[in-house]
Amino acid sequence: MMKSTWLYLVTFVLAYLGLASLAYGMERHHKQLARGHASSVLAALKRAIPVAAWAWLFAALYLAIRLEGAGPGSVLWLGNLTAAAMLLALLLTYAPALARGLAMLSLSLILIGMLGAYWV
Amino acid sequence: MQVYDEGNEVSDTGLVPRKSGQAQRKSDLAARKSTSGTSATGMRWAVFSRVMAAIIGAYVLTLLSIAVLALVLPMSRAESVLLSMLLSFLIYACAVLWVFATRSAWRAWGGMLLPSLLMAAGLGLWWSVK
Amino acid sequence: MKDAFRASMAWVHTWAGLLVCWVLLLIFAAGTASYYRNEITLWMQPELHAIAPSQDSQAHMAERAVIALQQRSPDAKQWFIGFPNERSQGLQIFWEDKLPPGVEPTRERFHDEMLNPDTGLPLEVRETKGGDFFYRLHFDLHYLPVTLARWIVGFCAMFMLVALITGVIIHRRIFKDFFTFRPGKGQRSWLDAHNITGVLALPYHLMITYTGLMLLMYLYMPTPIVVAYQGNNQAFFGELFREEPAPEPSGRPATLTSIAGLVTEAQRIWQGAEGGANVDHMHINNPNDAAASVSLDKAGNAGLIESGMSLTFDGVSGKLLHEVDAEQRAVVQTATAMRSLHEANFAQPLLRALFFISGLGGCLMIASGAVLWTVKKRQAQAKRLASGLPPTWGLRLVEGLNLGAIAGLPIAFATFFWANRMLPMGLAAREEWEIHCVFIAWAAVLLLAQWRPGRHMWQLMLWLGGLMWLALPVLNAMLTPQSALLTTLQHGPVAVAGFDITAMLLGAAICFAAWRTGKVRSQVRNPQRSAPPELAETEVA
Repeated sequence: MMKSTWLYLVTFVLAYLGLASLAYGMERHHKQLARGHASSVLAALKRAIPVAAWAWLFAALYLAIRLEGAGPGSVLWLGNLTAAAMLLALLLTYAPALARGLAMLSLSLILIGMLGAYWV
Repeated sequence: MQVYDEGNEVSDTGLVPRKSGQAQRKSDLAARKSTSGTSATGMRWAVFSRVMAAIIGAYVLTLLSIAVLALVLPMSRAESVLLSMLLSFLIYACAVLWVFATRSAWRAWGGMLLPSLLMAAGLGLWWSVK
Repeated sequence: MKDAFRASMAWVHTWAGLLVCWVLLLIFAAGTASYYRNEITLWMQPELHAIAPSQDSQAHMAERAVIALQQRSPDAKQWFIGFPNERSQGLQIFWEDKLPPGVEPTRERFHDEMLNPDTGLPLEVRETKGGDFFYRLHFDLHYLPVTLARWIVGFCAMFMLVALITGVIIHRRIFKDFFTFRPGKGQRSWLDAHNITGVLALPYHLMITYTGLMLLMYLYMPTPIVVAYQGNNQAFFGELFREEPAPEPSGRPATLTSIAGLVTEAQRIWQGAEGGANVDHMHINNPNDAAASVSLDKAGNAGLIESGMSLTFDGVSGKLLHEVDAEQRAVVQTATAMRSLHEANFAQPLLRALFFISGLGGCLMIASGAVLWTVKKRQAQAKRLASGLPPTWGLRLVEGLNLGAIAGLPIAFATFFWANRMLPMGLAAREEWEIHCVFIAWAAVLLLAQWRPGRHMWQLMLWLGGLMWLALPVLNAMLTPQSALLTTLQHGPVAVAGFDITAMLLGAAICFAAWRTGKVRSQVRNPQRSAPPELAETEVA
């Protein structure tokens, strides 16, 4: 029970990361999320990150379906997307630094989790 | 100053002709709402007529088309009835949108009533044969 | 051509939305609350909070339920036994009186009661409709004949569907504006808020509106049943769900077979089925009659769909008469899945919370759309208002209704919970009075709003609503100390703690809105900040 509760949280984290990556490639939000990169890195990242976004979103869908089965899983995925997008929109409006921090935290958590899963 | 939105505002026009330049691109809607000149009263009637065509005309069209669907769908009786009812609101919504998108209120009524009459005749025929 | 099309759709969107927005808000809010129907009922019955979930077998519970039903109504038309589950801990019994021929059936013939599953004794709880109030309100409204109410709700839902589709058509920059909210910019901000709550939860909005219409399609779209079944709904349902019609009572008394035995037998047959082998509920038709029959429905879901498996036994011999297996037909599966989606029956707690959040998003979408209309109208009437004339009656009416419906809603709903704790236990028709309180409070806000619709009143009402919600856990702790948040956090029930926390979060959000309303106003007073004109104009009202 405890383990699967964590996996539900991971679905949300993946959804948030995917949407934040999408926002990274958007004119209006790029500056809010991209502070601190050198300009050459920036150009490359601006192309790469939105592509990676789809990978995160599909990973979230895959995980949701693994957790709940095809029907409820897709509903769970859409629900997570909605909730994550609302959170992201609020953060971008009122606390863009926090939006960026949370995205970085999500990314590190996911990467550590992937490494961990690989080792275990 | 208020920054006026560049695009996706929800328009509340269509009833009364506007004087300002801002309403320019909406003015052809006003013309589309009316078939009998551009008087404000005529336009109000055209709008009212369309609203009636959307609420009543499209509903009648939906009721008749799902009745026909229920009879012609290639499934068991219970399933075709269920499927036609499931589709009904989609049909209704599309009909409503068409009523407001088409050129004139006359066309809107025609588009609702003509197929309705055809289907009603078809249903009547089916009923008498049965 | 394309612009003209878009303009027509914008017109439809505006007026379809405006006409029904207040009723729609009520429907949406009540529906959103209904996701926690059982949890709300539990919170409203603090007498049950100390009872631990039963560990006993369903067969034993069925036995106790039958003893209770035999005492209450041995010659009923039918009995119903609903077993406890994760979301409801009581053992529910329900019976329908047999009416003499020729008597008009009314709701009076139905009776229900909650039993303690471990003792079979009735649970002594305060009289309340609990979450069922919101559930009924969602599609039956209140104080109205049921059929009329359902037509009103269907009418509003159809408008909602049209407004959603036209909304997508007229939104030019769905993806560009996906995460964009620009607060403090008047009309721009209201449009952003309307767009963002609409777009981000769009799959939910479309799903909930369409499936909602679908739940009552037999009422709204009757022609297929008319042509295929001569209008006989029962015949249609019977054929669709492959149900055997319940047999007529024979009039000869007979001893009922062991109901507990049938429960055990059903669990044996369902061994290994998806979603477990437990019984969800059972019907006993014509109890104590030679023509008695017992049907049991399996609990648990298979994917989105409730299992749909059921067994029917002869009520005297105990012989298996009829077995319905998991549904195979695609159309029926689709319809069942749509129903299940609407009611979120399949959803575990986390997913249920996501439904709840999307539902709140829907409420905000409707409310912001309604406010947006008045903000635009004020701008259109800027000259008139600047010259000291009052706003047109239409604008004033809508502003009043918006204030009453939107700011009044949290007050009205909170009143329900306040009344639940504060009304005296022995009050006659107590459960009705809880509901009257809701509508009295709401009517008061609506009247005040029509009397003086303006920013002051908005602020006042939002503060009032926010504080009422914030204070709910305090009220709960004071009047029913055994259910205080600190206790329920440690010892459960989790649902009660969850209710208190949700109430505080909602209250905080509403207080935030009240605070923002005041803040924008003080900006307007300060001319250097170049306030959007329509905010300054609100002061006139």
